Amino acid sequence: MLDEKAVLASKKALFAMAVEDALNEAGQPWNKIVANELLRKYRCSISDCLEHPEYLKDVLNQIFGYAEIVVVAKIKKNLGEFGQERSVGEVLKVLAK
Amino acid sequence: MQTNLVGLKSNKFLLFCLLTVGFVVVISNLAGSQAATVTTDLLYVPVSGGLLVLSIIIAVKFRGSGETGKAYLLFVTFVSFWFAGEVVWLRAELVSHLVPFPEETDWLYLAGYPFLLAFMIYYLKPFRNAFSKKMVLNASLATAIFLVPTVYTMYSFNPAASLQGIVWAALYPLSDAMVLFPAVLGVTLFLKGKVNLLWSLCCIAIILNIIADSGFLFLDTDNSVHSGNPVNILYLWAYILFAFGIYSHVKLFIPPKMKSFGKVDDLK
Repeated sequence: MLDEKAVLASKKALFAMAVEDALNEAGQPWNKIVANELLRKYRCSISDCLEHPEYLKDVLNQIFGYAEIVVVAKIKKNLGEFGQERSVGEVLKVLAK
Repeated sequence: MQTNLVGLKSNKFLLFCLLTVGFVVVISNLAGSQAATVTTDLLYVPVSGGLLVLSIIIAVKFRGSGETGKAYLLFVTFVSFWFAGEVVWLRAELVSHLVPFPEETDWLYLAGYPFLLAFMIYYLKPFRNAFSKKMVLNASLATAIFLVPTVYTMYSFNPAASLQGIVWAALYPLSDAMVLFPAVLGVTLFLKGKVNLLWSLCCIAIILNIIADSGFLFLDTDNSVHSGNPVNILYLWAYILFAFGIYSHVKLFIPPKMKSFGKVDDLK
């Protein structure tokens, strides 16, 4: 049970790093903007979006509009092999919808 | 786009600012050209100064981080040039009683354009992979729609003007058209996004500048130009739209209000 929790926590941390790095090229403060919006609308953090990718998808779309596809592509690239894991692959599918 | 339009409609303060500035300039024109000149020249300083303050706030928020951070530093430089232009113009016309054309004010205004263009390029750079051929075509068409009539006006309505006068007067609408291209690209790229409000307002501001510059080009033929001319409303509106666009970005940094649960005991 504890192991499962630890694995989930590390997956969440990796996912959050991938998202934050994707936003960093445009500027670090974009992380704060996205985090603010997630908190305002869904009361969750970037790492929580591993379990609720539709929240992140909605917020990225709400902020960047059509340009969201670039951020999603960068997240996918940053996740690398980790993105090929089935659970993470599902998350990427939701983000790319 | 629809959500943005609804957002625009609901922004009563923006509407209030636009109407107030327009009303003040029209009323001052009814009082005579001298009153109009003084009022308009005095209006430019707080309006462009407000934009400068907001652009410094957003640049500080981004702290030069990433491409957007660099973009905002360039935007501050652009606004600084135009603000300096307004102050120099005010001093020259109201204090020294000179009409400086084409003098240092024109250099200041024109020096601002490359920085506005660079701001847009840097802002759009991280999202360049999302550009489609259709977007580029739309932006090119929109630019051509404003550029072609301007070039036509430049040659048709100024037969008596000197070559130097034509070149100086044409430089403004041409520079406007140059920055309109990335602005339209930005509007289509960020369609439906919160960021789109900044780009939509910038785009409208640039279009207003094109119309105003073309208007001045036209009025120049019968020498009916004076600093308080109602055409100035468009320039002032452009500053206000830029300012509200930047403010929409500043608002993104406001942290969400967390609802209080009140007495925790009530939850039990």
